Amino acid sequence: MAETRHGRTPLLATQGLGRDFGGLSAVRDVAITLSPGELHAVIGPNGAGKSTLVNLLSGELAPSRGEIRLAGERIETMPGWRRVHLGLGRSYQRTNIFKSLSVLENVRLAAQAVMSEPRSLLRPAGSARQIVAAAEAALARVGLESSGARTAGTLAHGEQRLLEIAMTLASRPKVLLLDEPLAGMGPEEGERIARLLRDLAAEHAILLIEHDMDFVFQVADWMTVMVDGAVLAEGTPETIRANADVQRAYLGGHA
Amino acid sequence: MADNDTPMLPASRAGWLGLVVGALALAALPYLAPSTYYVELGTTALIAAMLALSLQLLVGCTGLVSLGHGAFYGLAAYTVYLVTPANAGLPMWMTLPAAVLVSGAVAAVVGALSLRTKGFFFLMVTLAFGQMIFFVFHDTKLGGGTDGAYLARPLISAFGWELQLPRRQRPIGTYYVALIQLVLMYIGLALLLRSLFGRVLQGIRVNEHRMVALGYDTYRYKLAAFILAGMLAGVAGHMWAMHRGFVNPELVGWHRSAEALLMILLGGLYTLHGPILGALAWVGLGEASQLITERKLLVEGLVILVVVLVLRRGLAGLWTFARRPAEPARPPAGAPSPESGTAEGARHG
Repeated sequence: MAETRHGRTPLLATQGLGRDFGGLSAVRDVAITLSPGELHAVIGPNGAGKSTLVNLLSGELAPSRGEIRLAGERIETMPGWRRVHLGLGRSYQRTNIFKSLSVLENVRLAAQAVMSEPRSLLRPAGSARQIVAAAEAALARVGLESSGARTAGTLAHGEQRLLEIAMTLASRPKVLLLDEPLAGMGPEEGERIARLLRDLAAEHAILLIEHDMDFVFQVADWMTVMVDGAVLAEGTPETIRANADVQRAYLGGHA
Repeated sequence: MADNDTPMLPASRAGWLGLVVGALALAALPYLAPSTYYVELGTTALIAAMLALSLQLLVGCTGLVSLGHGAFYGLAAYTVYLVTPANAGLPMWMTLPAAVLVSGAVAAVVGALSLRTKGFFFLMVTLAFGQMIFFVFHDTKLGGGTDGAYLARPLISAFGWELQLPRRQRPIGTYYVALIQLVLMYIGLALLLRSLFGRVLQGIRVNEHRMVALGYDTYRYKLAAFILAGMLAGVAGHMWAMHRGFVNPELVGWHRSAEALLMILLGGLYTLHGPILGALAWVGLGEASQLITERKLLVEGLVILVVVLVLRRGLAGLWTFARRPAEPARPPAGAPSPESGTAEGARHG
């Protein structure tokens, strides 16, 4: 898979990306690329700036310097909501859903965001079939199709994580930014999400942040290791596993 | 699925039937009232209900608590005064659009600026704008200054036809004009809540941050809601001018906004009809406490405290409160219903 890496223009690319919080540089001079069909994992110890990186890419934080390109277009000053319409979707490390709404409504809102047109906004939501169908398809994708009528807040933790991903999928993104999708999951649920991710990787470019090393080394096509806000190393899982700096800084006895 | 996903509207046919019965009861009121005084009191209550309902679009539907809403109400009443020549009432089809347009235009400016802030700051900025508008009428001679001014009331007319009533029946005509507008406003807002637009407002109320991440420019939606709410407050303010034939700065002040918020709290934050109940109860309560005591505000305050503490879902919650045990458990067993958190609290309270 890594061969495809340099063959095409990257879907998502950063150059000299940085973000300061006061005197602290949470992200420093980061250059990463994400090609179509690639699953690119970003790993690093706590506080390495991985989540800040995702927030910069998704537009929740404005970069202090550097540039971000999505399909060649500069997006670093674009508001986050607009980036979704260009095909950028993200999920959250801490589950971020509409807990008091139904499961279907959670996903339906996600689909509506990219599918509704201003002049159709006064149509009854229930009669906008295409949107409902897209929402149901996203639910089916993660295996929650039978839970649509339930209140999202009553789902088990693992199901909420799946809903989180279904919401991201419902906006039909080209690029998926997944911030620790396995966070807080048991082994069985984790396996369910792992299978889903492998599945998704066929159609999406995925930037994955994840702590579970066994999982990351299994699924990633390309890896970036971040330490203290900067990129320490990048390469295929094999080269990363063999990299002495990475072993010292992060992997410990794991590799 | 539609009803399940718009919890602010009645979930069952029985609920809708209840609303229809309520509207019919209001329609019968002029025939049951012992004197025109009570018909006029009823009109006052209906106008309060329109104001509270218009504010509910912001508070209950979108999660925006504004303390400047009274300004759009008063502004509409003043607009009627300003466009009406002395001693000659204009037809309602001229005064109503004028009032609504002015309220909407000012709401667009106020909303565009205040919606750049959130939460507490939004509350304070709307309060400041409201007070600015208040002082325009309070400190200038534009609308008769602090004393206010009388105006020739708008005429109930359309397409060249005018409703002519003997003097003693005019309050009844006015009452029905107010009732029709309130019913239309409720229906319009119910349709809005069921629309794609309404779902976005609901999403913003529940989790605005997530809405942005899903790709919504929430500012635009909030601004649209703010302008619409301002225009609907304008309908209420216009009706006030038509009802009383008098305007004064009190109509614009922040007390009016606070009162509308209290009505919502009293009637229930979680339903669209709650504010109507709250407004009717509020006006009725004011009247009743004036009869039995001189300490009107004290009684009102106590009642509100008790209602808010005991009935977390307000007066509108009485219905679901009484009926809840009969409801079949939702699948899977033991899963709480959407608002069971608050209902739970109400039970303990």
